[in-house]
Amino acid sequence: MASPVSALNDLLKEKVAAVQDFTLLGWQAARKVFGKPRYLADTLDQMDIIGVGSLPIVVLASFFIGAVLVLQTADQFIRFGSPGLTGDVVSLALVREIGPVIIALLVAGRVSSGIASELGSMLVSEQIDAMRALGTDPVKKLVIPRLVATIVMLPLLTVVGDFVGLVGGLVVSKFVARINPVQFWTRAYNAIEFGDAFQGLTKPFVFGLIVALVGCYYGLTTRGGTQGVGRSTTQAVVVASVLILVSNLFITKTVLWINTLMGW
Amino acid sequence: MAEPTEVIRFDRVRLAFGSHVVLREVSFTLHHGETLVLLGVTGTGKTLLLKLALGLLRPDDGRIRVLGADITGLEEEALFPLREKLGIVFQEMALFDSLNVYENVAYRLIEETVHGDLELSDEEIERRVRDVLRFVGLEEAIWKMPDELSGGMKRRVGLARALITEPPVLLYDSPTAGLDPVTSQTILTLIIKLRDTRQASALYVTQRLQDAFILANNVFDESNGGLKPGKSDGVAHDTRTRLLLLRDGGIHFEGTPEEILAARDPYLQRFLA
Repeated sequence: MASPVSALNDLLKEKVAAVQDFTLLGWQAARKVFGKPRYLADTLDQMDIIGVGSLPIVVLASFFIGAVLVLQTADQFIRFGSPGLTGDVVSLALVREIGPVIIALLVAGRVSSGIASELGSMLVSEQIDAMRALGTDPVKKLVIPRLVATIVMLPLLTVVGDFVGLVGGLVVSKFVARINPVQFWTRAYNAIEFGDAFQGLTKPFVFGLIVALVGCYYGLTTRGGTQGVGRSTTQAVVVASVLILVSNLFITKTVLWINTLMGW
Repeated sequence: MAEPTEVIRFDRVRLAFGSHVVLREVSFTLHHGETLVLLGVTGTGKTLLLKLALGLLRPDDGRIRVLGADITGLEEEALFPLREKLGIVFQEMALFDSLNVYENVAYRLIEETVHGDLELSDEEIERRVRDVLRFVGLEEAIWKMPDELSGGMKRRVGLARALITEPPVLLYDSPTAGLDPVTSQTILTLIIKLRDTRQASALYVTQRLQDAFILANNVFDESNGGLKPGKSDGVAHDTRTRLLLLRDGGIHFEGTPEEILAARDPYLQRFLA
């Protein structure tokens, strides 16, 4: 039996190798993204699957998130005699933070798992080897279309989600919180400045990269047959979600610094 | 330029996964027009040898030459032109399950036409796909999805996919594994037909010794589309088939079917039993 020191050594080596492979996959994708051949049809297919396919869940979730935000905040502002501030707070929270993060987490649950299971199944059934043997680069054919599609579609989904969230807030503010809807909408709209939109749209680009790359990485490193595919799928969702939450802190800090620097 | 007589050459190739050494100092050569049958029990690294020959895996040590080119240190992109000259039939078929038979078989032609230098019309691609499907006796299945095919049909589609560009070298990974005797015979007949009509060189991985003897002792009979003994009509046809037995990561035996039958080695005796 291996000693604890040796086991720890193996574990650390495994983790370092995983980070190295993940970085290498990202580097290969970045290096090859503008090279030929370009799989435009595959990219458009993925945009449809990832973007349009995620739209119903994003719309539904965003509507109720916006609605519940109004429920939670309206009472407090009414108590202080400033019900109009509800629009400011809800729109800023949605656009800057809750919209990008929650939508990225939703998409991670759907897309990272989907990519990991699809590529994992292809790997264990030797389809990836067959692809390479037939002269096709799996990074170009499989990874880049998914990466580009997610990076393009996640910011668009976030914009839609933010808007629907505000609509959800509007509905609750009128029918439940009894706040003037025109006041809510005007305050919500006016509260958003360029720096807020910049922050809210920078995050989905990075989150899109995480969602797609983590899914591809776990799919392409699947080991152990169908059981391994299940394991990769779970790991992809967990790791993508954690990376989204952790990176959110650093992106927020960086964007706030840029906003201050630029006076946005 | 004369065609190289050495099609594939492994020179002291070593491969390990972690501390587990799978191949140690494996050396052999596949010559032009020859069929080399790689035998061995499960886990001896036979499939890995095919993947190494294709550049799908990299050896830890040693050198591999394919069609005169040293592929040991080649980048993935540099391997693609070389892989056009090699066709492989995977043990698990490895058909693209989201594509139908036509798209699977035509995959390389479509990729080369859309993204490469090949200029083929849709009609020309379909004609070539139908030709190769007819060769493996599956033209009627052209529009079916892989999940509508039996195991034997999938193998034949895999064979058709490997043949579509008429590669001079073919790699077979246990093409008869898990198939009934009749379907196995059909696959072997196709492989022998290919060998005898197109003079393709081949690495043939199998655990089934009877496959090796069928390949070594039979030739394609054009009169009935079946097989006939190599020593028939008063003529002894050279099937150019050699056997290579792997054991414990190394080569335990290399020679002709007659030599393996005559061997007194206890392990070979047990393997033959």
